[in-house]
Amino acid sequence: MIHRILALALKSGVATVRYPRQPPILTEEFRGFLVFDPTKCVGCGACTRVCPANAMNLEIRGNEIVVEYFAGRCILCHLCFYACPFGALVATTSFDRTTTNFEDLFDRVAHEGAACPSCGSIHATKRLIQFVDLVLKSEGIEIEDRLRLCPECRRIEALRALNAFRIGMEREGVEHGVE
Amino acid sequence: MGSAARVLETLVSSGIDRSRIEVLDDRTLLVEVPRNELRNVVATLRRLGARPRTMAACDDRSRDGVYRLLYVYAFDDLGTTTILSVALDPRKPVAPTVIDVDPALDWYELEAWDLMGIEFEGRKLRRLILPEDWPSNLHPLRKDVSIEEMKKLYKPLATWRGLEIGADSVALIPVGPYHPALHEPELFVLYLRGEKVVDIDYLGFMVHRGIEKLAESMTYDKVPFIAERICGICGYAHSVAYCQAVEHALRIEVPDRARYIRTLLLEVERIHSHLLWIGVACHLLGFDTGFMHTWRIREKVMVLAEKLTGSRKMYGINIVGGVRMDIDSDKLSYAEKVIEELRREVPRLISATISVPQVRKRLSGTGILEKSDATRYAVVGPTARGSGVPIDVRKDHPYAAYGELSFRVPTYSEGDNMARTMVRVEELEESFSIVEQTIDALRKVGGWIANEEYEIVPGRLGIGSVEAPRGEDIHVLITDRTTPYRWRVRAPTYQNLPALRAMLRDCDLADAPLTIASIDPCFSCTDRILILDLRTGGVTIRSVRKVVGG
Ligand code: SF4
Ligand code: SF4
Repeated sequence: MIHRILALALKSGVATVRYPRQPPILTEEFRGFLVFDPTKCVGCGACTRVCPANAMNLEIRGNEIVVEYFAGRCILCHLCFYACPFGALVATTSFDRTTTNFEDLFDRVAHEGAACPSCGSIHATKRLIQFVDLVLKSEGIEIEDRLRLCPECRRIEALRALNAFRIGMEREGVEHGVE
Repeated sequence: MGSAARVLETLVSSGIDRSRIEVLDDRTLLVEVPRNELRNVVATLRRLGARPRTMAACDDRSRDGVYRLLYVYAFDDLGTTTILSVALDPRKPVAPTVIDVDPALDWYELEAWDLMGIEFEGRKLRRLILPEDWPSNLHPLRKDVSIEEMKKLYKPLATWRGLEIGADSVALIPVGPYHPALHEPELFVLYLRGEKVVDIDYLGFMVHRGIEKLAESMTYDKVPFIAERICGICGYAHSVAYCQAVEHALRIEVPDRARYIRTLLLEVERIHSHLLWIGVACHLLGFDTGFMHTWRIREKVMVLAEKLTGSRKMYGINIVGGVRMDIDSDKLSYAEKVIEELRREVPRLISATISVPQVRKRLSGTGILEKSDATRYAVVGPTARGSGVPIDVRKDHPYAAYGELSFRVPTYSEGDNMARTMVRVEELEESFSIVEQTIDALRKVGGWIANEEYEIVPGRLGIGSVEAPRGEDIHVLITDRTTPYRWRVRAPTYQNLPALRAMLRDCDLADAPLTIASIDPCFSCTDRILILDLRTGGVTIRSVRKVVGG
């Protein structure tokens, strides 16, 4: 027994490293914690929708919209990383978030909120609206006014427009006589 | 294939009404069984050699006004699954017990009572899973019980104790229990006469997290990630089983390349898991040098997994319809290199650990599970194959790419700890070969890695099963519009643990830890279900509880 295992031990030498004094054995493929690139994030919330662990959240705080990453819940799946349309999440190979300060587990980007001109509620980030507007304009679509409305007011607006249109049609029908 | 047709003929000739049998596909039959005929049908199936795989209790009141029990049986030699569906009264669901005709279903009935409130006539019912201080008429898996409501209604005893000592918040930390084998929460009570074990009780289910309930509010593509966390050793098998259940239910065709990638990773997982087990066995024998060297070699497999998927253990690359990351040719070459090393290192390791006389002596002739008991308890995996029951989901009910690969299913008839060990040792060899075959295939098979064009149809039933390192994982799934309607997970340890009673009987006390470990138990998988962490007004309460085995 002894001689067999001894032969094995001598042959294999030292297999461990002195972590944390030496760097750990990690491959470059390792999916580690994420950090925001605040210059790229527009606060669209795509990352929060795909996250299976609710580690990414979008919150309205006063006039701001905050995208918040909580490393304490993150399961390092990187779904958010692939979902972000703006490349605003940077994947690292860091795995160690040991800390005595709870706050260290958060990473946040705060965005200026856009208020709905009709009801005043904060419903999206200014950056997102600017971005969408730019894209639409490049397609020749000018609906900036409608974009600024919150989804609720936008719906009411659309219904109103539809109604006006219908009434218009009915009048026309009356004038021209429907068979 | 037509194997479903053959089973259909057999069932009809055994007296089951033809009009009650529905052929779901060429491998699956669904039989509508009236309540009062259930016992007969179960007895008939067992007589015909069918193996009980799982049973799922479903609250179908909102779908068709009843509670329903789904008993899932396999004719392994024909690769066919037969599901018995029994409708029960929506106001007072009562079913006849079947444990006298099929003893392997004992825990399933207790669980259906505990979590779904289904009564079983003709047996004693007791709590299996929920804590003893859980409200008595609160059955968590019923559709009209919400997670929020449970948090309000469950007041653990610790709350009162906390108030008694004047604390405004209490953290209750259970110290122990009690790991005779793997370092996990479980308690075995052994009854001894002298040095010989005469009986055992198992107290478990201490780490329920409520994931089956939780998944009912998660979209289909998020569940694989929680499914993978059912087990910290063979979680990928669970994630595949879940995806396969959805794919079966919704008839989603998985692209070839994805099937091979899943197969490759399942075998990588098996290799690390079996090596882990050999290490633990050495450790339990007090042979820690053997443990260290096994794990030194296993580490190469962990690094390989990280290289292939981005994570050592939680691979996280499954989605419904395939996988979400490809494996390029550099990585395949790396995998090939690791397998080469393992082919050299593992035999040397075995000769320095398992094969040394001191270890052999402890393993041979201890913890014997007779073939008849193995069938009776319907055990799975290496535990079955060590007792001469040659079942293996990879062969019997092929999934992923296993149908296209060649491999052996090592089987031993002695039924002792040595037999189960040798099954695992030989399976390592087979896994090396399967990995090599999949590497070859992945170099040739191109195409998509996921099929994301599928339609979700509510009310469909799907079965997903995978041969995990410890035996068969089987998931039963019923679909709803955006989330699973019911997801029932059965891990292999759930099936194997009750057989320990037979294995430990008349065993020397000193051999008990090793025998318990010999089924390679995984308690967290077994425990998968309930809500344990409670936040009630900022207090995190954790309850310690006992469930006494039957
Ligand atoms: S990180 Fe990306 S996905 Fe998330 S809010 Fe910012 S831009 Fe959107
Ligand atoms: S890596 Fe996964 S768990 Fe972590 S924040 Fe991104 S999506 Fe969520």
